[in-house]
Amino acid sequence: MNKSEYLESTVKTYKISKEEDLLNKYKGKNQQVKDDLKTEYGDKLYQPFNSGSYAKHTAINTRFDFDLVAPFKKNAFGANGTLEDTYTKTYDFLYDKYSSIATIRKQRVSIGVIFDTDSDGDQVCIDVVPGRELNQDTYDEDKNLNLYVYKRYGELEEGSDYIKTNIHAQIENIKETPNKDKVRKIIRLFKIWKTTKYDSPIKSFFIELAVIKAFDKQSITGNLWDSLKTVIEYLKDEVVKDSFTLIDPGNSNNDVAKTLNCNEKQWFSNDCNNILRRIEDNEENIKTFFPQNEKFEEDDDTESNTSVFSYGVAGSTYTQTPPKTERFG
Amino acid sequence: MNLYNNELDVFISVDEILIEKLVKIGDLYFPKEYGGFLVGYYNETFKIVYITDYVLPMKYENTSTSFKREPSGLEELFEELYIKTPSQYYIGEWHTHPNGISKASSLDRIALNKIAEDKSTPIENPIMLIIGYQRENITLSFYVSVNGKLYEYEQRK
Repeated sequence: MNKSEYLESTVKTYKISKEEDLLNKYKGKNQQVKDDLKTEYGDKLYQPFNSGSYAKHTAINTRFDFDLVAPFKKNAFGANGTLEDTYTKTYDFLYDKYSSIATIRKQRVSIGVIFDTDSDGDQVCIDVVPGRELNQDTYDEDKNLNLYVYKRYGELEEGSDYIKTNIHAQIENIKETPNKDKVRKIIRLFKIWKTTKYDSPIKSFFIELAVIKAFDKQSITGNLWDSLKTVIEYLKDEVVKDSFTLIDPGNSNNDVAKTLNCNEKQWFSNDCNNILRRIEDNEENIKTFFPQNEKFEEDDDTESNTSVFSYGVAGSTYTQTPPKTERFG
Repeated sequence: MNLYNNELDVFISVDEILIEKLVKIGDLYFPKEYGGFLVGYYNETFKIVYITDYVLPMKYENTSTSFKREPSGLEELFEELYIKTPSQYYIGEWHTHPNGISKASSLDRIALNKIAEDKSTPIENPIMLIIGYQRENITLSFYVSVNGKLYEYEQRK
């Protein structure tokens, strides 16, 4: 088998554009929440924007990740307003606005708006992340935000109830990476692998930074399988080292590598080793580690009929770039 | 501007301002040919294609009688177009005929049919706009490829 072609095909079956109807529902709700926040808070709020895997183009279609960042002005809730006020008042607003049609849930740094299941059985969830600029009128310049950490989910040291971050820098980090198309494919492949694991402690942000670091530190060339193999080998060897760090581009004091403890890093390294050895033993095993999304395995082309003609599209995704070089006269 | 093909009973809808932009861009490269990609979306019944935007190639070769474009380097741009609301995607091609009419040449027919058959793109019926520049006279022709044949559209008021 051609492992690279298989992986390319696998990534395609997980493109979020394959789930077009659901994606459109997400986009609609996302816009609705964005508009409602702007209407409610006006110039107390900078332009809300999407972060997370959707904005970074690393999402897979088995789990959508729509994070909506709401960057508030420092004095949005009064001169003496606290960061906690930013969080709780945003929660109150979302609760008042949507609790009749959605469950509103306080999460670690975000507020989950989980819309009721619709008649198609689809459920849309938008995570609203309230943030506050560090000093009055500085956000436009530096894009830095403080996020309130809801204590029940807080994992920071006692006494710490906020995280400083720069979500724009996190998004730009991946956009500015050389080979970003290949980097994104490999991030997606790791996420696909993660779906085969039960309750993996590895966070998507860890995967993202780890893959970018591998590309930064290694010479990664060749087809998709060659590249993935080099990344897996790098992580197998490096992730267990004390010196291995993954610095959050939005906050240099945040080492994302520390989101895994020593045992978890060792397990991850063992998993990487296992993937390589098993595929070396039998290349068909690649299908076990990186299974295709059965729902979107390559279909036959749709029929075309000029007697009752309509524009034809094979499958349900249109994101591909135009076909190869073509000459016109 | 609305265009219709009677035989196929399908429409193209495109803003005249967009066409004017393409005419101006094409004029910049006169007397050589130039062109690029058309972007848009279909309606729910796939009977109407809305042309909403265009993308210019990063790599191309052109002479007074030919235009060759490459899609490389545009992957991110198309991904960004897709996540817009509504989603927009590649739906066809456009190019100019300097000192000529907008009629499709045999090379144009072959190229558009090849695109229709290309399995790397999901659209089965690519659109092609040709802009002809004859002295002061600008002509436009829209085509679609269906089962290896090109069908031309006529303008509807």
